Formats: sequence, structure tokens, C-alpha cells
Amino acid sequence: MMTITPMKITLTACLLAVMASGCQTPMQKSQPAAGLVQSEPTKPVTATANVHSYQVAPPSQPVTQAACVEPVESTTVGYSASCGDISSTGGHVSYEAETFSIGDRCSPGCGTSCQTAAPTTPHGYAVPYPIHHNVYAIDPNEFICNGGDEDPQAFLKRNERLAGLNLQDTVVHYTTDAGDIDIQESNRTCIYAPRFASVRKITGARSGGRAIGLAGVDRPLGPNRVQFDQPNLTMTDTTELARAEVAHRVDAMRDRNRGVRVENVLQPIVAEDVLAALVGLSALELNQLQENQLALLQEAAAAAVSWTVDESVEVAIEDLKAPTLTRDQRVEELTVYDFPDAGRLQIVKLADRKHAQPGDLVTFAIRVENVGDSAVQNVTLTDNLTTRLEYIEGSQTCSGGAEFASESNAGESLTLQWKLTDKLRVGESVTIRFQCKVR
Amino acid sequence: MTRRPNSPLRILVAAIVGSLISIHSFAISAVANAADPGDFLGSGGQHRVLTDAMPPGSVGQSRLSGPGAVQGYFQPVAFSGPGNVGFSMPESANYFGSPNPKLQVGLMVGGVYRFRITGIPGSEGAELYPTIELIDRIYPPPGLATTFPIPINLDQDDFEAALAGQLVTRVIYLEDPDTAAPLAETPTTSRTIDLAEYQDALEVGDRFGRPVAIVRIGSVAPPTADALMPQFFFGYPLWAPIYQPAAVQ
Repeated sequence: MMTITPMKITLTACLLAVMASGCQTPMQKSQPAAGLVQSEPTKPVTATANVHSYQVAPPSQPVTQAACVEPVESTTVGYSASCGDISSTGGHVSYEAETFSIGDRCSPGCGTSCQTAAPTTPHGYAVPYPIHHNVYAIDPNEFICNGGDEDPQAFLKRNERLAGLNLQDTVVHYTTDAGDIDIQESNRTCIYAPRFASVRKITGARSGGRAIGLAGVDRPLGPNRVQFDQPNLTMTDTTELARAEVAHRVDAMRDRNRGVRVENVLQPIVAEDVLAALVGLSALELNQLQENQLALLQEAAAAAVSWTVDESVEVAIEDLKAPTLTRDQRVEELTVYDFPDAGRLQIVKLADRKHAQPGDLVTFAIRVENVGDSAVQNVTLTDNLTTRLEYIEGSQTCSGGAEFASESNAGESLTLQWKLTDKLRVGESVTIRFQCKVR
Repeated sequence: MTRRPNSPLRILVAAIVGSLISIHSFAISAVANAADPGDFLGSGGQHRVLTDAMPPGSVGQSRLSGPGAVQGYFQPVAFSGPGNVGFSMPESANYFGSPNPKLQVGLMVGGVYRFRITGIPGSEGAELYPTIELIDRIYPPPGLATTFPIPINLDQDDFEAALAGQLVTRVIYLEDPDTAAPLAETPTTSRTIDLAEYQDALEVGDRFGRPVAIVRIGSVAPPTADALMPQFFFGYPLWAPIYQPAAVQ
């Protein structure tokens, strides 16, 4: 029969404690001689003359081995070469009393417990990566964007229906002379139009409790006021009244705000004749990009393009391939194959407003031009309107012959589609205009 | 009845059948260990730091230590309500300005502002003193700050509930255009989602967009003691008046 004595319990607890602190055991085994000869295992640390306050291990405590911490010889200055890519994180700074190095790349002896995530400071402490929130002080949720082709990209199915057409997408697909079906996306047009909503929670007495009328009794008698009087002793700070004087300085804001409003009032006058403003652009009429209209065109095209870098009016430049010449050995037989380059469409989408309130009308103009080397046919322009854009019925116009159709889409809005009835020859273009109401 | 000897083939078949039975029983046990159906929409072992039940100012003050240029910016806010409801801001220690049905002011993030509502339809003579706490701002293009204020659209239900002694907590949020409701809106109409009492308005608003303001409408009246006024007005935080533009001929 085995008896349990307090001594046995103590011994068992000690054994468990030793087993639990397993990381220290190998270190003690690796330095048996030092532990016997010297009572302080980290004595070489104190041997250095200049001891800074940022040394890692106190001299009086035994060295504990942690992940990626390797002891360095006392003569070593700086960081050990075997443990760490320190040079990129300030490793050239030498600390004479530094006896341990913690790097983000360790020697094989460190095993799999190396730090690989965050960069290290000269002291070896990991710092988080800097996180940039809203660097440009822009919130994309305040904009309505339309145009482009977001992933997944649109493609044409066998039944000539587009798939992969997301909300906001605007694409045109056409058939070249060679029989290929190509899809070209438009640029992206963004309008500043934030919209707000709210959630409401009403708490307090329920309908039955209200019939009892406790609230009605409470209010005129003012138990609340009894409560107010209780902290009266602590609320004697009258310095708050001085803040009211500061509020008078705010009057200087009046002129500034007025100026803003007057400026905005003038703006609708300029943009009132929307179609005329867009017609005046030579890039829209003649496809000539004039430098003096570059700013105006970019402004209208992107509307709020300044908050992204990679969105602008795209101009396709196509290199010309020489016709392929196949010559037989015999001079009298000359066969020339002429493969004209395929037709190519350029699609530009413009909006007449840069910002809009809910309920305002926005006019969009889409210009499609054949900038390729051969005619294209079956040109179909598809504009999938986003949820917050509502097409105004009957507002679309097309400068060429086209069949217009619309159907509802997943965003409770419409997918507009124009099928050109004629071929689009080289240099020809059509301009489509339509109006939308901002929801 | 003859008993056939255990051939190697029979042993192999028995092993396969046994393994299949064990796999089947493991599958059953795996189904039994799945999530409890009653534990729907679990919190994932987390809880929200900020809730709508926190004291006024807590959420806004915590936003000030966050990223972005939110400090020292007067965010325009536009009030609107049914009928000729007038809104007024405190212009001095205990004095509210004249009621304005289309009041527009610039408020700072983190501040709790007490304003007054008068001219409530059906309850003329009654006054409400709600608070608005700005917890975030928006980023309009230069020059459009007052054209695109944060709308505070209150309706008759808010007033009736507050006059009945209840507390109305509204969280105004910026809608995500990708998940916006396909409803036609105007600047003075905004969709309102009514929540149950056990729901956190801040959490729901955060799910639909970016919360920017919290409006609390109760039936508290100004205290009689002047010494309590700073507490009633939450320390008179700074605000900027915004005047409507004059009519241009």
C-alpha cells in the first residue's frame, strides 16, 4: 500500500515544475561547465566596460532560451551573423553590451520558431507594420461609380447574352471582319453622391406600461430633478461658461461658408445645357484630343477621378502590322495575302456632373468609335446601371441607327443595351446619351 | 450445418466491412458534434467594444484617437423634420437660438451637442431637447462640405415616442453604394430601419455602412439650477453656424 506524504507531494510538484519549464533545461545542460565554475552564467556581459541600460538579460538571472535568441560570445560586438537580417532594420548600430540578437531570419539551429512576420527594431522588439487608414481622406462609399468592367470580366455566351456583367459595368462587344467577337470596356465615371440612412431603436416603457402612466406622473413632478440636485456639489465648476465666449470666434466662419454657397449656385447655370457642353468637346465630336481641352475632358470623364490613380480616359494606340507577303520560289507566281488588322473600338463614357444629391439628374454620354483598320459589325453597347442610378424612361438618344432595349438587373435597376443596326466603318462613331436619376 | 474455415479472403472482407462501419459511425459522431442549431449567428467569441448604450460622448471620443483627420473639423449637419418643426442650437449659456426648420450647423467629431426641437405637429408648445453625437465625418471634395451635410431627418414617430417618455436612439450611417437599398430618396428623406430593443443600433448601422452620428431623443428637460447647465449641455462643445445662401436673381 502506497502512502502519500507531504514530502512526496512536494517532490512531485517539483518534478512537474521542472518538466513544465522544459525550455530552460537544455540551456542548463548546454552550459554545465560554466554553471559549475562560475556562479553567474552571464558573467561575460558584465565584463564589458560600457554597460547600457537596454541590455537584454540581467546579469544576476540565469539565461533563458527563447525563440530566436542565441547567445553571442562576449567579444562579439553588435549582432550575431548567424541569426538575423538586421542590416535592413538598423543592424549597423552597434551596442557593445548587446549579447543577444533577435532577428527576423535565424540560423537553422533556431528550428521552426523563427520570427518572420514583423520587422524588428534595433532592440529586437517586433513592431507592427504601419497601417494606413484612409491616406487620401477619401471614402469610396461616398461615390457612385459607373463604367469599366470589374472582375469577373464580361464575356459573351452562345445565345449572345453577356455573362459576368457586374453592376456598374459598361462594355461594348462587336464582330470584326475576321469573325472574332471582341469586348471592350469603357472608362470609369464616378460621381460624388453620398447617401445616408439610419437605424432607430426606441426603448423605454412598452405600450402596456405606458397605459399605466408612470411616465406621465414622473415627468411633471420631476424625480429626475431630484437626481439632478444630488450632484450639485460636484457641478460648481463655472469655467465652462468661458467656453461660450470662444464660440463668438466662430462668426468668422460665416464669410467662408457664404463664399462656398455662392460658388455652387453659379455651377448649375454652367451645367444647365448639358448636351451642349459635351458637344463642344472636340474629343467627343472629332476624336481629336486637344491640349486645351484635356483638363476639361478628364474632369468630365472621371468626375472624381482624383481619388484613384489608374483611371483616366484611355486612348488606344495600335501599331500597324505590315501585310504578310508569301512568295513562291517561282517568280511568275506571286501570291499576296492581305490580312487587314481587326477593327477596334474605343469607348469613352462621360458624365455631366461631378457630384449629385439624391434625386438629381445626371446625363451620361457614351461615344463609341472605330479606331481600328477595318469595319466592325454587330456592335452592341451594354451599360449595367448600379443600384443607385435610375434610368429616366425615354431619355436615351443615339446618333446612329440602333435598337434600344432594357431589362431589370440584379441591382433593382436596368441594363441598357444598344444594338447598332449598321456597320461601324473605320473612323465612324456613334454617341449615345441618356439620363439617370440618383436614388 | 458446416462451418467454413476462415480463409484469408474472408478475413480481408471482414476487415473492409469493419472499417466501413467505423467510418460510418465516425461520420455520425461528426454530425452530432456540429454546431448547435439553436446557436445561430454566434458572436464568434467576440464582443463589440462600442455599443449604442454607452454614455453620450464615449463613441465619439474613441473615434478621435482613431485614424484620419477627424479632429478640429466642423462637419456640416442638416436637420429636417415634418411640418414646421424648428431646430435651434444653444447660442449662449442657457439660451437657444431662433427655431429654424432647415438648420445647418458645423459640429465636431467627439462632441455631444444638445439642441432644441419646437413646433412639433400635434404637440405645439412641447419642447424636446435631444442630443446629437458626431462619431465620424465624411470627406467631400473641396468646396462641397455644406452642399453635402450629414442629414438628420427626424419624423413624427421620434417625437411621439419621446413625448411619451421613451428614448429614441438613432444611428445615422453612410450607406455602402454596393448594398444600398433601391429606393428613391431625397436629401430630406432617408430610410429608417426600426430595431428591436435587444439589438444594438450601432452594430446594425455598422453592418449597413459607416455610422457617422448618434441622435438620442428623450424627454429630459433643462435643469432649473444654473450650475447644472454645463452638464446638461455636455460642456458646451464648439460648433459653427452655417447660413443659408441668399437667393440669387
